[in-house]
Amino acid sequence: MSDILINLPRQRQVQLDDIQLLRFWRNLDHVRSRMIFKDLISHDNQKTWFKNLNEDTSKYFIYSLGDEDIGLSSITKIDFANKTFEGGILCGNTNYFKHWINIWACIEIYNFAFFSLKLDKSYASILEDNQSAIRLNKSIGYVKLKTIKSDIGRYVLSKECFLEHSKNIQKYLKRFKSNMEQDK
Amino acid sequence: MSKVTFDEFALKFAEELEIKGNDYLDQPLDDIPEFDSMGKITTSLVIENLFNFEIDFEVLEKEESIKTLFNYCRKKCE
Repeated sequence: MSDILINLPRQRQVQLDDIQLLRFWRNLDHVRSRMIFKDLISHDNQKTWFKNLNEDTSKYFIYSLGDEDIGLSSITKIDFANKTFEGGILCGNTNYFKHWINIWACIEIYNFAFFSLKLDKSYASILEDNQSAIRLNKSIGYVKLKTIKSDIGRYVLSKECFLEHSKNIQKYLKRFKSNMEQDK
Repeated sequence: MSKVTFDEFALKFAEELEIKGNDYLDQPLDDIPEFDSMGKITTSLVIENLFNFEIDFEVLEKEESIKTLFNYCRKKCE
């Protein structure tokens, strides 16, 4: 396998072997401080969380570049009856903050939810001081609905808004990935 | 040679990244909160529109300030 090939972005579904890496990421200060639920997660809590995961209502993926794991993307609270879900990503690998791979993972997870799972609407709850998440979500089309508990913004994203707002980003990422594949 | 001026570039950069104030003109790019993952992709698209070339993501990561980024784009168009 060439060096270039192993640098392509990938996503894989979270397996049991991955869950302590996820816990490590989730407990990092820069991640935990931006979460609504801020408690440290124990080894056993993490095992229980994974054991109780319902694959019909939530899907978790690790995104990576080559053989380096970067972060977690997820769709949770999937409701097929109402065609809604909640989407999210977190970058755990501190070497990849501000890297395009995070946007790639974000776009991939919403494409999966809207087009593979045929869902129509995503909701997100974001702390009002988490400006980077707010910027990211707004740039893919999320609209604020209301503020809850004084410091949490509740946002909604329709499939149509996502398509419209992410059009140029999707083109950019496709071209970027195709350039990488041609270079291999 | 590109006819885009620094002021035009800086204005478009700030507008697209929704940066308020003028501090970004003298700040290192790394210190501009809006110049994050999405901000870099947005900047790439701004450069494509203004200068007509596709900038490498690695260049965006290496350039130190908006001034050095502008100079890179100008040189690329010579």
